[in-house]
Amino acid sequence: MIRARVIPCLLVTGEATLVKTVGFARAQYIGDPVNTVSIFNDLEVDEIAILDIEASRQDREPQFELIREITANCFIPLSYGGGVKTIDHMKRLFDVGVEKIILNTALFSDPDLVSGASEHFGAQAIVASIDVKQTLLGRRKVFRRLGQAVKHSRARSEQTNDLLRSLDFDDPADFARYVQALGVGEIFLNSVDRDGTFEGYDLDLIRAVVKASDVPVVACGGAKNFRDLRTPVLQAGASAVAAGSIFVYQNQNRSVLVSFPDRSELKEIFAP
Amino acid sequence: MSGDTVIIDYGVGNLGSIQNMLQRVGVRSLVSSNSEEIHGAQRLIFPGVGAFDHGIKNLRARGLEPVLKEAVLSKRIPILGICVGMQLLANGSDEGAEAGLGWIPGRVVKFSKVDPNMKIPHMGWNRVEPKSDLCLFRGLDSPEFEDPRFYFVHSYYFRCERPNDILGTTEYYVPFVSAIRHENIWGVQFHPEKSHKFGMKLFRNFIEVTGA
Repeated sequence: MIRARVIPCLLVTGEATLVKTVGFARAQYIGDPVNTVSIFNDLEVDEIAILDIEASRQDREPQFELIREITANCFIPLSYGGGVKTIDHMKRLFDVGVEKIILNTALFSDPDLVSGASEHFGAQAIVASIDVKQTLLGRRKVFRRLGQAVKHSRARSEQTNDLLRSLDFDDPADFARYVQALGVGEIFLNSVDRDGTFEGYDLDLIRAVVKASDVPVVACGGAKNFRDLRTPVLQAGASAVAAGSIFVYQNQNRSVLVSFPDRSELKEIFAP
Repeated sequence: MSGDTVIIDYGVGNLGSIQNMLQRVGVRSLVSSNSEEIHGAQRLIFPGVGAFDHGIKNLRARGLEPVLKEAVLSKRIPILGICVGMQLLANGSDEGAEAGLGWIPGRVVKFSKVDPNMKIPHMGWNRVEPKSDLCLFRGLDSPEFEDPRFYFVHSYYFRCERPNDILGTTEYYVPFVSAIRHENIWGVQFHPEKSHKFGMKLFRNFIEVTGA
């Protein structure tokens, strides 16, 4: 049986620097993305996720040259998200060695791009990133940028149409059903509130989304330490775990140190 | 001195990653859909991702089926199918309606959900149990390759008709064939180009067993 994948999630800016955020804000400089990915490659991590956190906000396309430099030293699967707006963007990303495309904005603004991409490149290559934030009343709500509504999709069957009509797009589990109907092959689930806090994963959220999903769910946001990587997997059914802070900081004082558990540590961490 | 390794370009597959890794292991490679270059190759790499029909239709639309047929079946140039590239070697697939190349008898079938926790696709690192001749997996049992493993992403797998064609098996809730070989035709379900030093070793082995 396969062990759950452990995925460093790395954030890049428009200036091609690597940063780490808290609550999706307060970005702190970490280092050079090409060099850092090369270190993670040497540490034999299972996968790497790279998110350009400014691309959509700055309305710019992916930094193809930077991504090419990153993948040149990366011999493990790498997924990329940020500013991907067209099939041509995706083609160019696959050509430079990206394995999976992570989509977020398009889930709202361009559902046809998502289903078209899944048809074109296969579901396994298309990942939906779902960001979730708690409201003041404690309700978990799918986080989207101001004024962003879910656009109507040319759904392919009556069945899909009925499903879409019955869904509450604010609800993370329903949103997971929606992105699966679009044809994504994986869900990258981010807790905005836990991001960078070292407070632990949001297990209730992960459980709800896993239950609504037939595709693998990657849990991200809030890992306390290496040992804590086990909790989303063993207690909430996640197929994989992602984290940022614990892999780029030495401890909660946030001094930069790139690290990753070795094979025997991983075995221990995920022992039932 | 080995000749050119040609990665077959038919509009399907992560050619960048394969070229990238071959370059790292010091092998000259060429991405091509040109029949002369394919026929002149020392060995062929046949990549593929996405849907079965999408792959085989692309191959046929580019007129590459007869080109490959001559190269592989008549000229007996070694070929390594990767992921969907391996699946296209079969007679057909449950994923589509098109006939496969039919070079290794078998059919591509979907994983059935045998456990409520089972997620499809099978995505992640897994072991390959080599059968009989180690071939592509030679040396992976040495200490420098602690916990040998390969990266898989697939929902369908190759059901082999002839047990002798099976080169390796893997377990994901059920055992399935993850590597095949018949004479000069090889196939692996996983992605060696994304499998770090284990994938590099596999490519090195493939280069070695198909050397000039």
